Amino acid sequence: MLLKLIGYIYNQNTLWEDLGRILHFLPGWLKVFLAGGFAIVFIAAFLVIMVMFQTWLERKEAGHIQSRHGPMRVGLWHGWAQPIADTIKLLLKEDITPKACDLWVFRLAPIVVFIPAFMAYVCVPFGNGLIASDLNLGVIYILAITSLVVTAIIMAGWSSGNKFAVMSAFRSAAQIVSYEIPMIIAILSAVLAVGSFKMGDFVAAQQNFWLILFFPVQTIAFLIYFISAVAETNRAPFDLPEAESELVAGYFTEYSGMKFALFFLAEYTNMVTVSAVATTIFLGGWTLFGLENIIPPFFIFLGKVLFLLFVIIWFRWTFPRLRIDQLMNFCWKVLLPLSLIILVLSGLLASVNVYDRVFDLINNI
Amino acid sequence: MENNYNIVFLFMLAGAAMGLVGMGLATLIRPHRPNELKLDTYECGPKTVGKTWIQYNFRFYTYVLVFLLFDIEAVYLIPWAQAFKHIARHGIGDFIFPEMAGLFIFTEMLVFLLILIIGLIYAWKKGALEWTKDHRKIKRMTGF
Repeated sequence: MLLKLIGYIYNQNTLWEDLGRILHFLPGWLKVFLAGGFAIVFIAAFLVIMVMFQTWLERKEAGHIQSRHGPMRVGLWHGWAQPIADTIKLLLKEDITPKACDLWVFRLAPIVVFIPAFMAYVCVPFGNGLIASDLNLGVIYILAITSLVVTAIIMAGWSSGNKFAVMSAFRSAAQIVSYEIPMIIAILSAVLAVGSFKMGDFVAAQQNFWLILFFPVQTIAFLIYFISAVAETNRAPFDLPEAESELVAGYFTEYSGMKFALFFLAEYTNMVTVSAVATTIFLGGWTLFGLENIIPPFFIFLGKVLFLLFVIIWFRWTFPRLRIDQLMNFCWKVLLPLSLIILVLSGLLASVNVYDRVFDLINNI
Repeated sequence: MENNYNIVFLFMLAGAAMGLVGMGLATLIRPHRPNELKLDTYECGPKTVGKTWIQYNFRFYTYVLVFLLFDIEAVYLIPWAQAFKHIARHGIGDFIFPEMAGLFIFTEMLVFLLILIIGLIYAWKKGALEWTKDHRKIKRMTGF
């Protein structure tokens, strides 16, 4: 019931019509403002809950992989209240601004890192109609917005006046910029199969089958995308920018209190973003072979995203950290040639309409 | 909502507002007791030596040059990928063989990609994709 209510509130196509009937006297821009406001409230609540859950999941998973329990004390059941305690702690922490820093850049960086992380959610389809704005350039928009994170990282690293932070920012820039290319090319090979940049079209095309299940080409494209995405979010085994054994905490070494919390929030938000994009483009979004009529689509989407997040956290406790030259070699000498081959193969399949024929065949069964 | 870019602007404002509100809220309740030692640059104990804003490893520069090349390539691939399916299905204008239109634009892009792949191989052979100059020595010493 509650979900239906949220769905109604958030499904702006119906909201648009109903509101239009009731509030016909309001100007158009105000209606857009209201609809966008609903979307923003929904997504902000979703993200805060997801990030809190992720911090708990990460500790629990780490604990169980290393044969211990992880947090158990806060809250009655398996330390469920740990994220809430952490939030309160971060709010109450003293905010230290070191003397050596470039003050305004230092202050702006946490906000600049959070804005693109939040903006990426404009065209993530959470469920049937649960999309803030199905942009006609959705995929390109998400790629463009998420790559803006690197600006904030450079700002933070450079303005801190700390050698660790500067080194980390440069490493991070080189890494994020490099891994962007295999990522874009892997996504383009999926775009060739669907023929659209709209996130909604990706879900609609994969109603009855997922791209990665029937085409080995797309399976490899998904793997390339996923590996690049893990590198883009600076997660282990690609966490060189924040390698704690050599660079303390990387580009946010000098940050404390709420500013640190915003970096943390942005990083975990980006993890959710890449999982959501991988889910939508390669794993069929909120569809599950007809089960979306029984289970609410939002929960199917959530399940897939949580599974991918689980895998990303699993990576961290499985693979050792790469060395910087191995990291760059892996991108430029393995992923990039592989993604170009995948793009050519995908283009070949699309040019003889194989994708369309398979789509039609399966939709007609 | 269908394809409304005003929402993007609203999201930008909301993202900034969330960051500012979070930081503002913390300002109200957190303690503020700075002293000399706290405001020092953190460096695991010892005092910082020399400037922080120094020139950095030149290797980043060659990577960025190669990156620019491939980023622009991606920009050219984007419209191609968008139009591909439509052309493969419906053909281009008055092209002689409508059923071959897909293969035709595929070959066109293949030529473009091949030129870029030759460029990548050139950069590779020239050593632009090596992080260190003595990578063979490192390989011998560490084994991988």
